Order: sequence, then structure tokens, then C-alpha cells
Amino acid sequence: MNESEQNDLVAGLAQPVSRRRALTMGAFGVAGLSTILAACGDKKAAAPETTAAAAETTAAATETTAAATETTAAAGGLESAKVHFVYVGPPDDNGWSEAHDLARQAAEAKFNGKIKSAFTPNIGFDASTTQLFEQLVADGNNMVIANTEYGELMGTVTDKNPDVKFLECDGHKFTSNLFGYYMAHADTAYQLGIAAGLLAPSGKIGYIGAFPTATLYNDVNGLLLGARSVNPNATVNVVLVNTFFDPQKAAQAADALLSDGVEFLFGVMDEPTFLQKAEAKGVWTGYWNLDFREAAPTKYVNNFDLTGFAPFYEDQFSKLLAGTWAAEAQTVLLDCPLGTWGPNVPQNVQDAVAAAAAKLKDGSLAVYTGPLKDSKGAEVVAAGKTIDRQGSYAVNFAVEGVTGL
Amino acid sequence: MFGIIDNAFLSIVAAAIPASAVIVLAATGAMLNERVGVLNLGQEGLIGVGAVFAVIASLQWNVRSPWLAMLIGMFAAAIIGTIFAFATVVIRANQVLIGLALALGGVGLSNQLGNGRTGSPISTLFGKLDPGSAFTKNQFLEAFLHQDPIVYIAYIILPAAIWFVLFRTKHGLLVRAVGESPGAADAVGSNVLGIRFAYTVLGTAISGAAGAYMVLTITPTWSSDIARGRGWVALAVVIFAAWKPFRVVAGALLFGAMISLDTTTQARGWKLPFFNAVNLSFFLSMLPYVVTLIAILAPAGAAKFGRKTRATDAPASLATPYFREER
Repeated sequence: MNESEQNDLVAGLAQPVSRRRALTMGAFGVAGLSTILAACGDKKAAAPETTAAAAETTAAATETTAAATETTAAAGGLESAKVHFVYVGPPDDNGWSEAHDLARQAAEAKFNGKIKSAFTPNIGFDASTTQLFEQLVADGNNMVIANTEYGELMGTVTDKNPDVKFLECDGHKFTSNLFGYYMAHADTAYQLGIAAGLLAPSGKIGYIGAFPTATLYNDVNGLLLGARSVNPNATVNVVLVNTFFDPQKAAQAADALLSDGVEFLFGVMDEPTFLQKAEAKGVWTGYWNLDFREAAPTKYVNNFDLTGFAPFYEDQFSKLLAGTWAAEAQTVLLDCPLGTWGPNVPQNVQDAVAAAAAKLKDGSLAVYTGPLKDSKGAEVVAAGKTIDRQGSYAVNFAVEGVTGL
Repeated sequence: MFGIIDNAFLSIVAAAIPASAVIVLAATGAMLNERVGVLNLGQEGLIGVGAVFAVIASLQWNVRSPWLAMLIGMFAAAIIGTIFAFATVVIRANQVLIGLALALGGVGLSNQLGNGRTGSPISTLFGKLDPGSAFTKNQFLEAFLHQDPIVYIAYIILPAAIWFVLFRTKHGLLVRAVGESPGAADAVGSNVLGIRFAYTVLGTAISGAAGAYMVLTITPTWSSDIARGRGWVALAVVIFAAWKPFRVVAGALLFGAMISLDTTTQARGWKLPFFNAVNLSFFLSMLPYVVTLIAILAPAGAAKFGRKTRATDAPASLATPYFREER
């Protein structure tokens, strides 16, 4: 092939599509593609949005003022409302975030499409968190619900946007448009502790914890005091793994506790590895967030029942629509009963727990009843005194008999 | 059945052995890569891919044998490894960049494939060997003998085989030459690129086995980001081990023992001076990484301050692509 032939070939190849035509076709192509993309985007908006499109930040920011005025205009009541949930974990985490997402779906279903809810999963604790909350406001959400305490990462946004309602699970900041809510689970742990004390002859209870917070203290104190009420020798061994989610580390913590001879193993992990470990060793076990008996078919005792979030969210949604929403002045503590008993838990254990649950409910029994000493030996509750629900939400000590805290 | 191991040291050992096996396998895979001069930073991704395919094999393809599930995990990692080898050995792209891409991409891919499978319990698990009641009565023997079969493969059979091939065969000499001086190996007629390619793929398959082992024994369920940094620790262990098979085992065991020390200390309520129980848990969580750091620094420090050791025993051509024209 000589040079001129080659040139002819190149020209021939180029001929059917001139440069201008190519440009035109390209432009049509881009236009067509963007139409398709836009259509997809609409579909996505109708279904629960799983991710906030960060790229839209600038476009959405211009809408901020529009959305804000709209909210004010409808202050007396809303035809429909947008609610956005922010989860610390994935919505299928078999734990905390899944419990919230089930509640979100249940509550939304009660409103015949008047409440449009969506969620953003896996939100950690850094500067992008604040950005997310700002964007959720810019997107015109009427209510934003965070399922963990984001503190000032969220607080700065709530202060700037008084027209948007904020709820923060386990939050400790209370303003005109923000309040915290949580489960009153010290009672639940106490009931589970009674079961553990009756099921474990030695009274040795193991607990795999994440961080030294009030949640943890109420879990271990409840377990210990419940178990001691039926078994004076009961102890709670705590292993902190400094995460809610590291299956391998949780597995090692479970191994360490099981090889130390615990006869009831509980924990606040968002995954069921420790249940499987307990089942394999024939040790009674239970789970925090959900019913997870499939991980320990024969040794499952019970779990905390977090379905109370659904009616709470439903109540918040209807107040939002009616225009009667107001921030609470102190933490709303929701009832948190035990779930369904495992198949092999003896009837006498179930009866003993039911009796105590009734007393906790009518107020004749309190989890924290003095005299109580903390694990360092100092008196924390004087004889004849008790700590009420709000008080126990702020507990920051482990009672005597708990080791590892 | 087995009893409760009262002896604290033995209970740490018994828990550390399976936990460390993950790092042993990943580090062995990385070591094989590095022995032929290919730096593979993608261990984190390979563990994830190996794990997720073992999960898929077990949950979705109804594979009933843990051995087969592990092989599927290894095969998947090897496919990714083939792409890696093609990029680094054949195309001769920058190994650090491709390795980082593999680490990030592998984690992302495995999370995507594992999406929706979180928490489903896997039933095809490796059982622990039962050495018989005569042995399990003795806690010392129980700690070492009551383990799953992969432990013995990872700790003894695999390192012994690699040691024998690398240091006792002519082929092993060529393999090491490819990592040290590929030009010389080429001059004596060995296929440098072929050996590099083969050992890179083999190493990635073993790294994939680490992930498969994780879900088939220790944490019998899928969870996203499953490696949780263990791939990076494996890379550090290779340096600590000076690229020697049995030292890899020792280094990994040290790391695993530090994690077990953390949980056992808390479970048994041991006290340390200067720490209250809560601070102690944070300190002990940090310890495995501090020990890893010291383990890497120590040989270099010893060389610096007069000991007659090499600062590093790294293969001389590590992370250097081989161009025949430039030798």
C-alpha cells in the first residue's frame, strides 16, 4: 500500500461522517443520555433514596431559601412532608440501623404517601457529616432523624435551620427544633439478667461491649442487678472491643469469655458472631437489636424488642403533618420490652421474668435500688433511694460485681 | 468435647492460633509475590474477594464442602490476581499504584457482591480436629491440637513446602534469582516474566484463602470491609519476617496473640498499673499495631546501630518491573 492509497483509505473512512455531523450526533447523543439519566433519577426519588447525591450540592443549595419559605408558609399544617433518616450503619446491619429502618418503613406505611421518607446509610463522624445534614436541609426535608448521637456535627446545622425538625437518637442537645430520644433499656437488661441468673448456675455472665457510655453501663448494671436478684453470686465480665462491628474481634472476645467459663453471653454487637460461638459451646445467649435466634437455634434466650421506635416515629410524623410538633425538653425514653423467648427457655424462668416485668411497670420495683456500690467500692445509691428512668439514662458507673469497667 | 482452658496463657494461645491464621495466609501470599519482585499492596482487597466468594459459594451455590468453598474463594482471588499480574508483570505498570487500586477495588467489589448477605450464617464450616479425649484432657495439648485443619496447613505444611521449594530446589533458586536479579536469571535461560506471572497469581490465590478461611471458621457470616486492616498487617509481617516462610508464621502469631491478650485480659479482669479498666481496653486495642510497628523498626534499628545485619532483606528487585532491554 503506497502513501496515496493510504490517504485515500483514511479519507474514505472519514467520508460517511463529516466532522460537523459527528459533532451534531454527539450533541444529540448527550441530550438523549441525559434524558434517560433524568428519568432514572426520577424513579430513584420515588423509591427510598439510599445515597444523597453529593454532586447535587450546589444545585440544591440554591433551592434552600425556597424550601425554607415553603415550610414557613405551611406552618399551620402540611399536606405532605419529607422525612430523612441518617443511619450510622447499613440498613441491613442486623442491628441498630436495621431496627430503625424497619420502624421507618412501618411508620411511613401508615400515612398513605403523605410522608415521604428516605435514608442515608453508613454516616460516620467527620466533617462530611455536617455537610450531609446541610444538604438534607437544602433538599427541602421537613424532618431529619439521626439514629445515633452526632452532637455538634449535627447541632450546628439544627441551629441554623429552625424551620426543620430534628430528632437525634441518644442525643443530648435540646433546642426549639431538636431533641433526643432513646430506649429505656435498663429495665430490659434487668429482666434479661433475671433469666441469665436462673439459667447460669455459676452466675457468670459475659458481656461484649463497644464503648463506655451510659448504654453500656445500663446494660451491664441491669444484667448484674437482675441476676443478683435471683443468684447472689452473679458477676458480669465485660470485654470492650471499641467497635460495634468487627466480627473477628467480637469472635475473639467471645472466645476469651467462653474459655473463662461464662454461662450466659450477651453483647451490643451489630452482628451475630458471638451468638454462633455461644451456641457452639452450648452456652445461653441473647441479642440486643433484633430477634436473631437463627444464629443460636438451641441456646437463644431473648433479645431487646426495639419495635417501639415505629409508633414513636408515627407519632412524630402525625404531629409534623398537623403542625403541632414541638421539641421535647428532655430525652424521650421509649418502652423497650423483651422479645420472644427462645425455644428452650424453661417456663419457670419466663414466669419469674414476667413477674418482675409487671413490678417494674407498676413502679413497685426499680432497677437501681439502694444501697448500691459501684465497681470501685464507692456508694452510688444510698439505702432506700432509687434512680428513676431519666436518672438511669445518665448513669456513668458500673455497679459492684461488674468487672472490666 | 473440650473443656474450659483455665490456664490464661494457653487460652490466649488457643484463641490466637486461628485468628492469626488469616494473617499467616495473607502474608504468605504477599511473600510469594515479593519473592519474585512483585510488590502486591492489594492484600486487603484479595482477602475481601476470597471471603465474599466463599460466602457466595456457601450461601448461594449450595456448596456443602468448606474445602470446595475455600477453593472457589482462592480461584476468584486468582482471577483478580491474573489481572494484577498482567498489569504489573506484562504491561509493567507501577506496582504500588496497581496494588493500591487492587486494595481499594477489591474491598469495594467484595462489599458490592456481599451486599444483602450480611449476617446470614454460613453452615459449611471447617470443623475442629478432635484429637481424642486422651489429648483434650491436657490443656496444653488441647490448645495446640484442637484446631481446624487449615491451621495446620497454614502453619506447618504450606511454609514447609514453600521453604523446601525456595531454598532446596533448583527451581527455587531461579525463583529467588528472579526477585533478586532478573537480568541474571534471564541470562541463565529462565523465563523471568513467566515465573513472575505464575508466582504472582499463586500468591494472590493464597491471599484469597485467608479471606475464605475467615468466613469459613472464625466469623461464619459475611460483613462488609471484612479484612478490617488485616491485609495491611500481613504486608508488615512480611517485612518483619524478612521474606522467610516460618518467620512469617511467627510474626503473624505475635500479632494474633496481641489481639487475644486484649480480649483475655478484659475477660479475666486482669489489672495493669497506670490503667483503669476502660483505658486499658483502649490501650490493648492499640497494642497489636504498636507491636507490629516495633517489629518492623527493630531490624532496621539493629542494622543502624552496628549489628552486622542487613537493614532489609527485601528481594533486590522488589517493585521493579523487568525490561530485558535495560538489563
